[in-house]
Amino acid sequence: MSQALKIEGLKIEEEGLQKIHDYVESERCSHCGISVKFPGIKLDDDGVCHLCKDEGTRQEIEELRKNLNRQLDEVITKIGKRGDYDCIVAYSGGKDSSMTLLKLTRDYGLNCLAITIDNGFLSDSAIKNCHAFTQELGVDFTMFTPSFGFMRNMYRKSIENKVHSNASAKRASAVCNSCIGLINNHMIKTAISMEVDMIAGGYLGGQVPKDAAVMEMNANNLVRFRESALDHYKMHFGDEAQKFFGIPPHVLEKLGDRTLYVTNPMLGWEYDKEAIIKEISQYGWEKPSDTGQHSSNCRLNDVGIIFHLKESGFHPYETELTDLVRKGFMTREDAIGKLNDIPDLDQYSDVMQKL
Amino acid sequence: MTIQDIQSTILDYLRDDMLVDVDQLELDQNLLASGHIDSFGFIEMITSLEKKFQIKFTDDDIQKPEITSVSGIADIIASRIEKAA
Repeated sequence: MSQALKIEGLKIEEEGLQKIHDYVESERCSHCGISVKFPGIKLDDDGVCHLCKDEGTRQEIEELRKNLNRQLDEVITKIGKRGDYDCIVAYSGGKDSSMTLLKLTRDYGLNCLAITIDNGFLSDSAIKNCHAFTQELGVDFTMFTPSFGFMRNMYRKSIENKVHSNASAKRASAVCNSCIGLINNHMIKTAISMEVDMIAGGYLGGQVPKDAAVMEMNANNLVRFRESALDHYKMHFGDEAQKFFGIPPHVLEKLGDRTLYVTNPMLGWEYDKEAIIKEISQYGWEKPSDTGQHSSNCRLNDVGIIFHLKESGFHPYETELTDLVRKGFMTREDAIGKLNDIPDLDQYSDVMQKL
Repeated sequence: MTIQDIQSTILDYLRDDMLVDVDQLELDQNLLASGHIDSFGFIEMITSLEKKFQIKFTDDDIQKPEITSVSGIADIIASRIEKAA
């Protein structure tokens, strides 16, 4: 591992390796498996964390999920039909966004436009999946490829500097947070331009707040969220960030007094990874073998995990996987198995070279 | 509950849940623009504060520019508590 980590000045010092070791050895909640290295985690005398105690009963969790699902149903009845599409799906080619696209198209009858951001690190099999799956589903599909020079700079700065808030580190690695910001902005900008009222992503609990199943955005909110963050991104990534993290006034004007619904339907649906893979496989999707333990589309993901562990001392998938355990969609043993399976960066020398 | 109590509760939340270094935070500082929280963090914060203070922010509250700072949120919460009393 040490060889690969020293390429092009991105390296992990001894202290970082010790943090990773300490993380793997750390005590975990006896119920959900979250590590005590995760910020703010407190275990009681039975070894149960405060998140499990606050989570509520299975019945309450199920009721919350159904409520999120009802919110999604309400949005779908509200969205306008003025443009060519009902919904834009932020489509990564991974299993979760594939399932989102499948259900919205087949079960909800929405006319979706699937948009993939090619970040320069999508695996060949993921790109193949994007084309095969959308074609089989009969969904229009487009890919947006930002200049690699910008993306490389964005990722390097995300690893080298503290670009994102501490709180965002609880949800994802720094490279993922940068990518998510860019993707969200592109989807919002495209939806406004094409007069589409709804955007859907394939995020799960832990990756986004529980209340992010349906977010209502109007022009004022958008200005606040995007423009407030824009200066911050420009400071770290340079003026070109304007293009990828901003919304030009002429685009915003098109929104008028409309409401844009940014949704994450998976938060309201039952989650069964194997069932999802089985279902989407019927539509030409094939499980990639080159994207690591936690991603089904991106080869940069595992590199982001390593640098996150080294910096923060906990796994960026801690909230997502333990949230699935708390909701009864994954066993504690499976979650811990995934979290302690630290990526071997020797398998990602091509990624490190590109960075 | 005084404005200072409300501000203190918000600061505790930002320190404990959002991992914000509150010693470096000005009460009227824009939390989004300063990079202390992002848009998802903002949603989390709003939801958590609603539960903590047992209030419900209105759409108008969310539109107010001052809701991005500790002092601004505290004023809005105080107003909600007062109306509910």
